[in-house]
Amino acid sequence: MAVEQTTTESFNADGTNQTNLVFDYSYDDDRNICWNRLDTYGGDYGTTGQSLNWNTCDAADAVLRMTFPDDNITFAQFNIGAVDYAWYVTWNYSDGTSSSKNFMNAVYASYATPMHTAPTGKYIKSVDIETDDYVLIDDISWTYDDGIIAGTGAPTNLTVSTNLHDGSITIDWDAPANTYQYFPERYAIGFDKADPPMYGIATGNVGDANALNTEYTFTKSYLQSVLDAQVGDTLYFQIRSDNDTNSSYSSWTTIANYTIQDVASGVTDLLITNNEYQGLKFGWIQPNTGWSEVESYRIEYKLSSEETWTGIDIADPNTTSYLIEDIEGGTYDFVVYACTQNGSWCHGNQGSPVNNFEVLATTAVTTTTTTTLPPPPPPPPPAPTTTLPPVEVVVMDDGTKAEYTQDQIKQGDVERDNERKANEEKWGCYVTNVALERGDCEAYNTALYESTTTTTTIPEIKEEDVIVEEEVIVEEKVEADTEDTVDTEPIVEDTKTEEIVEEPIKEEIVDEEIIDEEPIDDEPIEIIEEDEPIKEDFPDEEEVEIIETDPLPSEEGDTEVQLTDEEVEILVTETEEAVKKIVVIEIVEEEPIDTEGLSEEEIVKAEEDAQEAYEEAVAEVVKELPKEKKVEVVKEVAKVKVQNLATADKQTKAVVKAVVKEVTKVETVAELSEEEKVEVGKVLGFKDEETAAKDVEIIAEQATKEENIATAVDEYVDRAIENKDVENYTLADTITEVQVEAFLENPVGSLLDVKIDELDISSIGQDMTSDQREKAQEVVVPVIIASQIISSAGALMRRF
Amino acid sequence: MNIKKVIKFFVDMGKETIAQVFTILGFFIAWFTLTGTAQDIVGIAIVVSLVIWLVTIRLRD
Repeated sequence: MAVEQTTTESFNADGTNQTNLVFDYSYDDDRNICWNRLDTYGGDYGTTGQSLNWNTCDAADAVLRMTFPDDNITFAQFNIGAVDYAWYVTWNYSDGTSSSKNFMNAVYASYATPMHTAPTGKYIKSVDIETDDYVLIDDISWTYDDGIIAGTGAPTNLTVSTNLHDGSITIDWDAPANTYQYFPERYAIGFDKADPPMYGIATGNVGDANALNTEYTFTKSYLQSVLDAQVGDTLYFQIRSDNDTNSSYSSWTTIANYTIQDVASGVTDLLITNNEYQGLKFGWIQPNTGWSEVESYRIEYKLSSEETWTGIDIADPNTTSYLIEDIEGGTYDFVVYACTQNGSWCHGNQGSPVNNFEVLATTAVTTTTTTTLPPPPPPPPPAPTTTLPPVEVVVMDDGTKAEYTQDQIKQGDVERDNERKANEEKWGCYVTNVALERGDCEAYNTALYESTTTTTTIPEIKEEDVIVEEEVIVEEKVEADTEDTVDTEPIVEDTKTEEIVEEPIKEEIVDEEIIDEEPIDDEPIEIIEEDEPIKEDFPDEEEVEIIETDPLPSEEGDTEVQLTDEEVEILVTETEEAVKKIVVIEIVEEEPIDTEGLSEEEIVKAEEDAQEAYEEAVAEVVKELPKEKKVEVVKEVAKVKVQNLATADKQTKAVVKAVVKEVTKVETVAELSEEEKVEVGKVLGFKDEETAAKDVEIIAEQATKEENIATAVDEYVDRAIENKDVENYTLADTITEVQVEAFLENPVGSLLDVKIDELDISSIGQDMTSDQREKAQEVVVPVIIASQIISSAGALMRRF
Repeated sequence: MNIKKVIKFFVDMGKETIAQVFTILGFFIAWFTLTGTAQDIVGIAIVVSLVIWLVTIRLRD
C-alpha cells in the first residue's frame, strides 16, 4: 500500500515560499495585479503569520494561478478570507481537463477553506482563484502519492553458492529498493534441512557493522552442528528485512536451496620441481576441509600450446607426492585434482592451475628415448634457441652409439660420458675428469699420492705433453670451425684424445702454475693438497661442471678471490645500473622530512616511516614484474653478493629486498627452473649448488609455516648488508638472529609454540636447508661439549 | 614445616639451574640454530630434561 504525502505552504516570516509552489500573479491576461505578502491582519481571516494579500487594488476579475510542484496530487485545499464578492475556483488536472466552482457567498468577515479531491484517474496540477476585491490567501496544502510503499521491503535475488574447498555455504541477496516507508535495519535468515526453514539467525543486531550485510556464510562445522548436515542433504534458505525500530518486518523471500555435493577439497601448496634425470616431482597438501574426504587424485597435464590433456590417476588418497618419470622438456600446464566417487567427481587444486611451467629436457629419466605418455604423444615444444630434433644418435669414443637430447649435447653430457668411460677403463672408476681430480676415484688417488704427506707427485706429466696437447687443441679448433662436429667418427676420436689429456693439464696449470716450475722435464710436480677431502659423493658430475665455470667459489676449501674495495664498488655500480635497466621504478621521490620542531627520536621515526613507505612502493612495483625480470635481478645480485650492497643506492637495495621476498614465495619457486633456483640460492648465501635449489624450495615452504623464517627472508637483505664484514653470512644466520630476538621478546611463548601434531621423527631436519644443517653441526656439538667442560670445571673448582 | 621444604626446594632449583647455566646456554644455542621439526623436538627435549633434572634433585643428592 502506497503512503501519501501532504505538503503545506504557509509562507516564511519574511514572506518567501516554504515550498516550490508557483504563484502566477499575471495569469489573467498578463495584468499586473497588486499583491504583497505581509502579516497585515495578525491572524484574522484564516491567516497564520505572513499571508498572500491578493488584489489589494480591488481590480475586477483578478485571477491568481497556483501551480503545485508535485505530481499525482489527489487532494488540495487553501484558506481564503475577507472576500466581499462572489468568487470562483477552478481546479486544473494534469490531463488538461478542469473542474470549476462558483462561490456566491462572500466571506468578508471570515474565511473559507475550499478543498478538492480529484476524480479517480485524475491528478490536480494547479488551481485558479478569481476574486473582485482584496482577499487574503494562506495555508495552501496538497496531498500526493510519491511512490513510497508502506512498511519495509523484502530482499530480492536470493542466491546460494558454496566453497567446495572448505565446505562453507554462502547466501547472497539484494537489499530492497528505496521505495518503501522503512529501510531494513538488519536481515533475518531462515535455514533448515526442511522446507519451510525453521531455524533462524540474523546478520547482526541493529546498528552492528555487519547488520546490513547482504551476504552470509555458513561454515561447514556450523551446519553440521546445528542441522547435522551431511553430503546429499538439501538445505533451504530464505531472508526477511527487519526494521525493529518501527516494528516493521517484510515478507520472507522465496526459498533458495542447495544440495551438498560429494566433493573433496582441492589440494593446496602444489609444488612442482624438475628433478634432474629423476623425473618431475609433484608435492601437495590435502587439507580435507570439504564435505567429503578425498578418495583418489588425478594429475592432468598438457603442453601449454596444446588443447588435449593427459591424465594420471593416483588411487592412494594418502599420497601427497608423485613423480612423473618420463616427460619431455617443454612448457606445460598442470592441474592436480582431488577426486571422490571412484574418480568421477574431481576438484582442481586451490588457487589457480599451474600454467606455463618449464619442464627441463634433463628432467625425465633417460633410460629410454621415447616417452611413455598415453597416445598421442604431444609434439615437442618449439625450443627457444634451436630447431634441431630432440634426440640424436652420437658415436661415442669407444665406438658405441648413444642417444642424447640437444640440451644434453649442449650441456656437454657426451664429453663427460666419454670421460667417464675412459676413466673407467683406465682407473676402474666411472667418473669425469673433474671428479677424478677431486678425489672421487680411489685407484687414481692411490696412483696420485706418493705418500701420506701433504705433497703429491704426478710423474707422467711433462712439458712436451703440454705442448703437444696445446697443438692438438689448436688443430681440433680449426677442424671444428670447418666441419660439422657431431656425426663423423674421426672428430669424435680427436675429441677423445683431447679430453683425456686436456683436463689434468688444465687443472695443473690453474692450480700449480706449471710454468713457474723450473724442472718440468723429469722432476715430479708437487701440488698442495686440498685442505680437506671432498666430503660429498656427487651423483651427477654435470653440476660439478657448472661449478667449475662459476666465478663464485663452489667449495669451502676453494680459495676465494678477495676483491678490493674499488673492485667491489665497480661491481656494485654495475649491479645498480643493471637493476635499473631491468626494473624501472617510477616513484616520485618523497618530500624531504620537515625536521623543524621534531625531537631526535621523532626525526628517526619519520625517516624510518619514509623508508618503509618507499620500500613498500617499490615492492608493489616488483610484485607486478614477470618472473623472468625477477630472475634477472637475482642473477645480477648473485654476481656481486648481497653483503656487498652496502654502498648501493636506496632504489637498488629496495628492489633487491623486494625481489628476494618475491622469489622465495612458494608460488614463484614452483615456477623457477633448477638453474634459477640455484641463482636464488646464491643470493641467499647457499654455496653448495647441488643443494641450493632444494634449499630454496625448503625455505619457500617453511616461510609459509614459520613466522620466524618468513621474517628472516624479509629482513635478510638488510641484515646481510649490516653484516657485510662477516664471512659466510647466509640466510641461516638471519634465521638464528630472528629466532633469538623472538625468544627474547617472548621466551615462554617461543618455547611453547610447538606443533606436536605435525611432529614426524622420521623426517626430522628434512625441513631445514643444507646450509642450516651444516651450520647447526658446526655450532651445536662444540657448544655443548664446551659448556659441559665449563660446567665440570666449575664443579671441580667448587669442591676445592 | 611444609612451607620451609617448598622454599628449600625452590632454592635448590635455583642453585642447580645456576650450576648448569652453561649447559642450558648450550641447549639454547642449539635450539636457536634449528628450525622446523628439529627445533620443536629439541625444544621439547630441553624442557623435559630441565624438568627431570630439577625434579630429581633430592634423588641425586
